[in-house]
Amino acid sequence: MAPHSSTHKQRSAQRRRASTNRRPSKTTAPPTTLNSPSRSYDNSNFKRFVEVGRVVLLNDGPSSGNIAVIVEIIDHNRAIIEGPTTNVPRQSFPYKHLVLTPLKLAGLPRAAGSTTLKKLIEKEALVEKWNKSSWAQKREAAQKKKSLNDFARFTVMVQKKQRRDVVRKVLAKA
Amino acid sequence: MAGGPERCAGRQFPRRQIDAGTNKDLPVPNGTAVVVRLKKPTSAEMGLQEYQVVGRHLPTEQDPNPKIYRMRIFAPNEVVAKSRFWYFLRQLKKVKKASGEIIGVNVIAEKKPVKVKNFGIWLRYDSRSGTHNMYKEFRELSRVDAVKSLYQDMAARHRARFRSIHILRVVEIEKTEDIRRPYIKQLLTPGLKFPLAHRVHKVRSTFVANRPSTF
Repeated sequence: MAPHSSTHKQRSAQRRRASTNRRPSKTTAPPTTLNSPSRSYDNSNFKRFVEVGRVVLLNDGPSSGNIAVIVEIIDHNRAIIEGPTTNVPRQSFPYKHLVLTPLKLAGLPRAAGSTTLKKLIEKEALVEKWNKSSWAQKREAAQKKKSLNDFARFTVMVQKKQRRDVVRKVLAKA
Repeated sequence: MAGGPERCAGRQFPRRQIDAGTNKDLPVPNGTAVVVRLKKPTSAEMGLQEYQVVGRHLPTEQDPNPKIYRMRIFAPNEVVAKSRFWYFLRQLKKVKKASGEIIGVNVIAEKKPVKVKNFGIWLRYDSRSGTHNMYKEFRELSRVDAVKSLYQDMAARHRARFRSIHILRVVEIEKTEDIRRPYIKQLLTPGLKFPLAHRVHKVRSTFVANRPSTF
């Protein structure tokens, strides 16, 4: 009888421990919701946000590869975007098919019209800023590389060899 | 995984493979496979349109000038719109299809199709155990889009089909204070912003050296 009673005690102790673990602690902060005005991302790791004025790169659709600006947020899945200088018509666009860039058009009011947006884009030289960024340049280089034909690829190979040759000779002398 | 040239080309529309050897309708030599790209579905085919249907009872000796009725109906096509018109009119007035006529059917287009609007929709639906009235809010670009997402929402949450839903009213809510539902209210916060968390990129190969960063 003795071993049986001991196992029973052990089991009840385990149960007690499990129940205390399951109970939520009272010190947890109340969950902050999306609409609470106090919500701030100051201590966050996130640097790019879906917000009015955010510059986005489109990944899909007829304007794929172009940049545009978020003009208004529709919901958790879509926003109104437009790129009057980058050939992107005003449209609803899902976040799934775009990437947020570090660029932001400051001072853009919510649901601004095409004219206001265009003026601000030109004033801030947004497209030039984007084209100068290493991201855009890498994309351009990749695009160029992709468009080469077999002979062009061969020419690049030969030119790389020549460059390598010059560098090595100089290095050997030094 | 099929590794074709169009693998990285983004979203594709479904393609139908037709073996010309078995299909006698196509004027193609035997043994060649034909790839038919299906037409991109237009908005009307994809879902709903708003119709204005006007109709009346046929003129009789007692009533040579019968009353004209007009309804705004959300339907996938004109045929369904007319059918729904008779369905509703039969319930409301002593007019039926056999004793009435349709005067006109028009499509109602959205006035501002790129402006974000908040819609309130009143509806009535038959569940498995009874009939319920409901009010729901949607944030969409057009009345039709709002009704489309309403049907999706009702199908998802209540397993309600098109046939068991009556749309009573669709109203654009112009003032922010008039919005009742918290799920729409939260999108109207001034200076709203949020990150896109846990974005998983498409991996180009089966084995990669670095783990993807998802933020």
